Amino acid sequence: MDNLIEKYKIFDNKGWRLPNGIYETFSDQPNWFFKLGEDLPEDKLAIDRIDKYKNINRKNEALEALLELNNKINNNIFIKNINNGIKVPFVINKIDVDDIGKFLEEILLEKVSKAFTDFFPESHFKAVIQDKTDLINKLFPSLNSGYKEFLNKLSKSDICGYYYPQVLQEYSVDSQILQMKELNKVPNLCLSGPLEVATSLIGAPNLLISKTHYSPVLCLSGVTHIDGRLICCFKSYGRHLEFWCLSQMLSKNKKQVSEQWSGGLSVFTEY
Amino acid sequence: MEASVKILSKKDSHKILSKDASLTNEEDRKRKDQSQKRPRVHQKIQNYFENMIDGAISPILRLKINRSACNMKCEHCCEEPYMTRDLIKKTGKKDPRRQMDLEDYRKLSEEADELGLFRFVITGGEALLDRNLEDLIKVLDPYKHLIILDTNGFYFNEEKAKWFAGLGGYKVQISLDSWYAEEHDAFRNTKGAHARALNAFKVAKEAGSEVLLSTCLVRDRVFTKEFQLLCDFCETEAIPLYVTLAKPVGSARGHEEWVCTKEDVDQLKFLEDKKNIFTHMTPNYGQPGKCITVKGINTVNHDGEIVPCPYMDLSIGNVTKEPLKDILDRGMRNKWLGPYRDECIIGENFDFIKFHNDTVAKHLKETPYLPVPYEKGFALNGSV
Repeated sequence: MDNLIEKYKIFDNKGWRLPNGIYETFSDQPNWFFKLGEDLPEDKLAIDRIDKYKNINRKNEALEALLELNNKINNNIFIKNINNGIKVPFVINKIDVDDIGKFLEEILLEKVSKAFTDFFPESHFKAVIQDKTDLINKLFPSLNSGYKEFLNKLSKSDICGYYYPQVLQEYSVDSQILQMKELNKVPNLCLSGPLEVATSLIGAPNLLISKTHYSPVLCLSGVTHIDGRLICCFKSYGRHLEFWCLSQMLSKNKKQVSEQWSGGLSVFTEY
Repeated sequence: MEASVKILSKKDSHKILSKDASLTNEEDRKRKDQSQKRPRVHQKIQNYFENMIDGAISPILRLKINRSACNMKCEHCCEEPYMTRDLIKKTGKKDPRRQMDLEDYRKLSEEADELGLFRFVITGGEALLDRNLEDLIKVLDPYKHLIILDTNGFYFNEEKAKWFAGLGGYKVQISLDSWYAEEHDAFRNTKGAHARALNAFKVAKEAGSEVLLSTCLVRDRVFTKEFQLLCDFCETEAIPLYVTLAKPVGSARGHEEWVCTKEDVDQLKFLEDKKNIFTHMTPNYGQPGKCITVKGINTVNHDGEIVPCPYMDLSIGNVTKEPLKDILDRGMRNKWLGPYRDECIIGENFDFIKFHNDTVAKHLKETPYLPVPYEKGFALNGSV
């Protein structure tokens, strides 16, 4: 049994998705120069903060559901190692999002901005789009990412879960998406995208801010831009927080494989 | 073709401000200015914006000329090991390698123009010591490229200011290491250096050149009263303040206590919102702040070796032996240099600093001549 578990090991002891020589990563083993996790809030505090900006339905039930979800992850021998990495809770009220870009640009970024600048009054939140227009009708669930199913479930129920921001650190964005082919049979797990990452940042506005370490760039690869050269991400700039829709092209025919870029996985449950 | 960037800010967090909102008012003014004075430069900037999403780069080429001869002897100088005075001390003779001549620079200017590059910084040592400087500026073509003169200001008097502006020079970049005259002069080992530098700003502005104050930041300086006074001077005189981070290379090798911490760098980024202050990692031209190796600036050594950062001693190829395009492509594929990363690797990343300094130390045991050729340095740490 132990051999079987080892053979099908998905995450290493730090909760990093093992590339197994298949996926394009910056290195075979990160040295974690880019770090997260200083003074992150406890789940309850993060949920209280999300509630402040997004009015959560049935907050106590969400907390109970999170606890149960955490136990389930710990009891699943194939994925329990994911819990060895940094994780941030999120709770999202039932909503039918038919245009992810519009929702992000017009609703979510404003809330992220407010939560962040309330927490760090001297810092700024800035969002930049390297495109001629906007995000409206530009973002769609990435193929096989599980994000479509996530949105589908969210349209029917309140959802809570954990965002694991460093699981796919150093993966190219294409490989972040590709590796989901092996994981898409795991229920209620998806490649992280704008809705729950933004919500996690509202709950933990200091996620990317550190006095001593540079933090990873959090790619929202659960969604794909209609222009395949562009990706969406959150990043810090010193003590500031930024959202970028920026080019992932290293050159005309080659995409970035960056030590700093990180895809995330989200594990969730309806409650 | 307008800049293809939209920006959402704190004040209007979900309102479209303008396509060009990522440019500061000053950047916007300068860009409009170029459309009239230097249409070719303007065209290249527009092309860069158009191709930015394809990963196009348009780095500055920083030319080290005249064997880096210099009238000063600064404590933090990263150029000392390239200077004839240092080589004579070590070997009894000057660098025997072939030096770039005007024809090489003419060819480089043409190649750069074809690639859409539009900025040359001319530096030394002290660039004004070069008797062929006028010819060099002419062959680089100040109407196809922005020519930026990097100087300590000691010899940059009214006459030189008029001469440079008259040749079509674009900007004068003057170094000042401390607002306090005695500190600056001591650091530069040159009495009167501070007063001459201040005069250089005055005469450069009067001659109609853009100016920039360049200062080197050592650990904790950003929090000092002296730095505040320097910022105040720049604000009063409307001079952009360009801050470089001290690196443990050149004369400063072994001075790791000078290396800035993330807290220093974060404070600089914080000040960017309040002052006209920037580093090489400040977001500009619609790009996020990031390490600019290969992408933002490359130094051209006297012998044609291209070094992907002013503070490194490792080459990515020699422009007198192969096309500039091939060298830049190679640099972009290097694991340290090409992919996106926020921190200044030679100023903040001790893994890289160790790789760099160990490689240089090993090379210097075999030969006194820098930079380390590509095959013996960057070629060893892999490509993406």
